Amino acid sequence: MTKKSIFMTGVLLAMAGFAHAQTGTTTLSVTVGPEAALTVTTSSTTLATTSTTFGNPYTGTTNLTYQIRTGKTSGTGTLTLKITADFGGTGGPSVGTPPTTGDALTYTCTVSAPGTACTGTQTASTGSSTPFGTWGAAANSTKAGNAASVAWSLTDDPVYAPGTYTATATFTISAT
Amino acid sequence: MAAWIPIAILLAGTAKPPVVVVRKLHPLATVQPQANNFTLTVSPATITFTADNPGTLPVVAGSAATTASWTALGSGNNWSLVVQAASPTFANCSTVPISAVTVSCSSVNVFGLGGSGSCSGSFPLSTTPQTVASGSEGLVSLTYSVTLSFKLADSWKYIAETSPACSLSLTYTANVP
Repeated sequence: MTKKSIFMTGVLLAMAGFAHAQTGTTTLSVTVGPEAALTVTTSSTTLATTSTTFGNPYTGTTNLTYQIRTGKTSGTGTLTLKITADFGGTGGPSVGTPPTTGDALTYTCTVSAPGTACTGTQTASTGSSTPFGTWGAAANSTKAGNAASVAWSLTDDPVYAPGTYTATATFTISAT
Repeated sequence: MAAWIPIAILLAGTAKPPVVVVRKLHPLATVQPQANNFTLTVSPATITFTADNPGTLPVVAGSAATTASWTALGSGNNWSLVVQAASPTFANCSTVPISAVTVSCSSVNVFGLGGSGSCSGSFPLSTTPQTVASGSEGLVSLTYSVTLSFKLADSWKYIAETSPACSLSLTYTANVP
């Protein structure tokens, strides 16, 4: 009788000790938001001309690096620029109030894929943002960023008084 | 493994004094393993990441720590907890690789007699089972608790997707032989 009781107890303990493998699950959920960033790699661009007869405009190029990711189905991206500080000084060039009709600060755009550059020659403005580049849905840059640039052209007007004039262009990039 | 278990038997109704019998329990190979004799609980059920800006926040922490826990009788062997992803990419977000998620074990608690455990190092998520934590089972009923955390490496290379969110199922397996 005693031996039997001991044996049964031992078997129960043994069976209970036979744990095995069990599984459980977790779901990882990620919301990847649209985002864009911009770095102006040419922080100061000098506009210069080699002409001594007013035949060629002042030109220069500003380089940028953009990073972007847009929404998968209906996302967009937009890059614009605006002259937020006009050329100062008396007798110099002006974007907002050109000294001579026809004087202008114009530019052409270059935006590497997957972006699309603005078309043709654009005229910079102090009053509103003007086009630079666009992106469609499901666009993304590299981690390090993609290249873009703007080539400036400022009319060389004889009425400009000799001197150095500075303006500020502000670039804005956005994504949805 | 063999284990000694002292069992006291009182023979009631006799004049004899109590008898203490020490009996060796033989290896349990003669008993078929019971596959469903403990339950692995993983909480919370969902971990969320909000990847808003890889420029300012390149590494995004998960919304909460995950705890995997179970209770099982020990047999003196080694136990382990492994995790693996169900697929190589997130659903709805094929540009987000699962290797962008780093799994880290922050703590292991083994409650019981003789059991122990420790965390493995951090590793990128994979469809291959990887050990999160492991240790030795004790001989008495044990409760195991492993706490994990997840981090996502955000990137400009990912296509934005807010609705439906990207999702990935992870499977944990607690091996307690």
